[in-house]
Amino acid sequence: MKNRRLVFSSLLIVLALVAAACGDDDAETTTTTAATTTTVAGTTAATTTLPPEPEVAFDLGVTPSPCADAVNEGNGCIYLGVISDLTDGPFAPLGVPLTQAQEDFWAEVNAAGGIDGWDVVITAENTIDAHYDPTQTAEGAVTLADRVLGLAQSLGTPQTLGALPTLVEGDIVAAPATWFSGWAFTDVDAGLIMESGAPYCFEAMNGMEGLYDLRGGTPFTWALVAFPGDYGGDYGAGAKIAAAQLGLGDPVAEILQIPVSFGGSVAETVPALLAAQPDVIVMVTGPTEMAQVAGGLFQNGMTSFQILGAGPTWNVALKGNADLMPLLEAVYVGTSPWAGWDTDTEGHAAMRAAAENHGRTPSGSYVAGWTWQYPWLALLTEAIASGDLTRSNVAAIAATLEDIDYQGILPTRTYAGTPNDHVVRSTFLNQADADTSDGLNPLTDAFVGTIAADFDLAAPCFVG
Amino acid sequence: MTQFLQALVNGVSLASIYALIALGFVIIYKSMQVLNFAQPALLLLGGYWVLYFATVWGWAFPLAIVVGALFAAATGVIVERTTLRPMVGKPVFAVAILTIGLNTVISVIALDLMGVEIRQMGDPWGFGFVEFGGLNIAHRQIAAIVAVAVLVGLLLAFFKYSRLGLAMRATAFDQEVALTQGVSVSTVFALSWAIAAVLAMFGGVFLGSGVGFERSAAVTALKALPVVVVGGLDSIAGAIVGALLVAVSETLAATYQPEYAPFLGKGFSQLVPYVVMLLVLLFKPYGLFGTKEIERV
Repeated sequence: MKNRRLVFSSLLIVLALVAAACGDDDAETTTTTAATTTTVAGTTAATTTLPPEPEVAFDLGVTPSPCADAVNEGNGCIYLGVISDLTDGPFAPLGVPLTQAQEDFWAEVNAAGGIDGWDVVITAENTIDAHYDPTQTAEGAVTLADRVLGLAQSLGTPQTLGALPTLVEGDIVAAPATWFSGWAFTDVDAGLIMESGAPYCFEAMNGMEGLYDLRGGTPFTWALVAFPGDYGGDYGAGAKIAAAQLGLGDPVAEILQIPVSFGGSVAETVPALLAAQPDVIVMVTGPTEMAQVAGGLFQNGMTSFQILGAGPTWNVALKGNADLMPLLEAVYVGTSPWAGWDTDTEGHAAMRAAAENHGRTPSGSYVAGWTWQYPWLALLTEAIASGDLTRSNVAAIAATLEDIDYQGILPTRTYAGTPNDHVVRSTFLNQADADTSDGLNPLTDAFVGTIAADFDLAAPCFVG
Repeated sequence: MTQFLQALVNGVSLASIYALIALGFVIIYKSMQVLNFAQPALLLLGGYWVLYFATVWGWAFPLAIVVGALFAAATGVIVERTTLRPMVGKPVFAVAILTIGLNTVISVIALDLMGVEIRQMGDPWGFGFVEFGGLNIAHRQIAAIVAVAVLVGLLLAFFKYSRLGLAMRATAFDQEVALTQGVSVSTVFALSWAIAAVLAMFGGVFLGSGVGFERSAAVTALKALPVVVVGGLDSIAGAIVGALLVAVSETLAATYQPEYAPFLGKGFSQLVPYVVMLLVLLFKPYGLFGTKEIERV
């Protein structure tokens, strides 16, 4: 009896050791056989049944088991994270629809069958509100490092730069919610940041040149009101480059605007602009600061000026201000890296359909959130096709990813080659218009001004 | 000169908003000897009621103000009854700390209701202004100055001529004596919170009119604290003078400091209320109009 117990116990121990050796260790690479469909996001999505895929290797942020509440029970699950500004930072009005668009993007991909047997989800657990705080963004990256394959969104340039060490350490690829020109340089982003659209400084060059043309080629005085850091600095650098080449000279006032949500105030900005009386105010802030500055100037009787606003300076909610909007319609010209909500492209149509499916309201931020997911779709499609969804392989592919199809929202792009080879230089100019869905009416198609076209992107436009 | 006068006008307008919020501090302090740190949260919630009725339900703005004031008053009474009443007899310090907690709780509720977008107040003033002697005075600024004048007048009349107002003054003078004279001190406490909440609501309305109402209004409301310290915690006149001193100093600093004293740094005007407070405290520890406390030792 005693011997039988000993044998039985020994057997249990051996079995336990074998089980432990074969157990699922997050840090180890595992393989699975994925299901067999491939899909394309959007209304024209096609679902094709393919032969069984070869085994796909994976490690962190990927499970062979289906996602919670999966629409495709046979699919594996890829987890993406979001670090955004969702409640009280300067871009919270933008961060919420931006995040919703990204959730909806993947919900549509999944509803159409997923990507070659894999669903992609952004769960609430993997969505972090960093309040536009670089420290909290860096902490958020650490929190998500073991949970997700990559970041569907990292909002803010200094914030994303703060998180970069963690991203580099973990081979974590991220789509930025920022247009910093440094993302074109692998020595800045280690090839991990998949930017979309023209960087801020090109947007500013095109904006200044476009506005110059719209004003009939007449020189104008200009002021710069910009957030501190890379967002304000990059766009401001582009504006200064363009101003110099257009013969406009230095800004008559250059004001560093602390975000109102960080305790800043426009109390000093408005008197400075009233004193300087610029023809054009280049605003590189959030929508709140822009509205408060514009409102302050209007209330003090200054009406003969124009605002050239960076993309994030506008928010559709401004359309709801019945008193302010008619005044903004007269003065506000905004730049954007892609066309607005009502534009007729395949991608815009897919986005509008998704928004309707999920009960979202139109906004430029939703367009941005949606557009930023196309590189991820291309990346995951290629990584799955290569049979390797491990972080290191995904990061390696991202650095030189090619043929990213934006369904017409942007031209197909690549990350391969030098910054001058792959940087996007085109911009749209828009006028505030209460009659459009997102409050902006395009004044131009995508265009590249001569200054932006000739600019040699040898280094980031702004180095903090 | 025009720039200076314009800064003065803007300062007086800002002072009217600070005064509305500061008066709420003073009224609660006079009745309960409690510094109410929840005033910014009451401003957020009060402002929300008005914008909700005016823009979501589409009511006429005056009606939204009246109903908003009723809701704000009810909020004040509920807060007093549920959280302050059990603290009667407890150390003043503990009650003040409690109001910090209240500020957090009410702010979270208000901000959740407001959402992250700038919300329109539905006010009728827009961005219109009148020109007077080379100065531009916004309709909103005129409305704020008139409103604070009317509200202060009504408050003073209430304290002087109404039975409840007299009861509040008696309670502020000496609670125990007031009790022996049949004054319902608990009613006075509740009423003081109701009035403070309504005044905060008006502050929120004027902060949010024009461009819109959003979260940073609570930060602005905090500047009422240096206002009451400068004026004296228990002085209505002090709240008004303190508001003028603080707001005019702030707008003058915002206008001139970036040009004449840039070494003081960006955003110095936001510090000015606290600098003024420190300077006044150095020479007048009870504020310009505050009552000196005499303690036997």
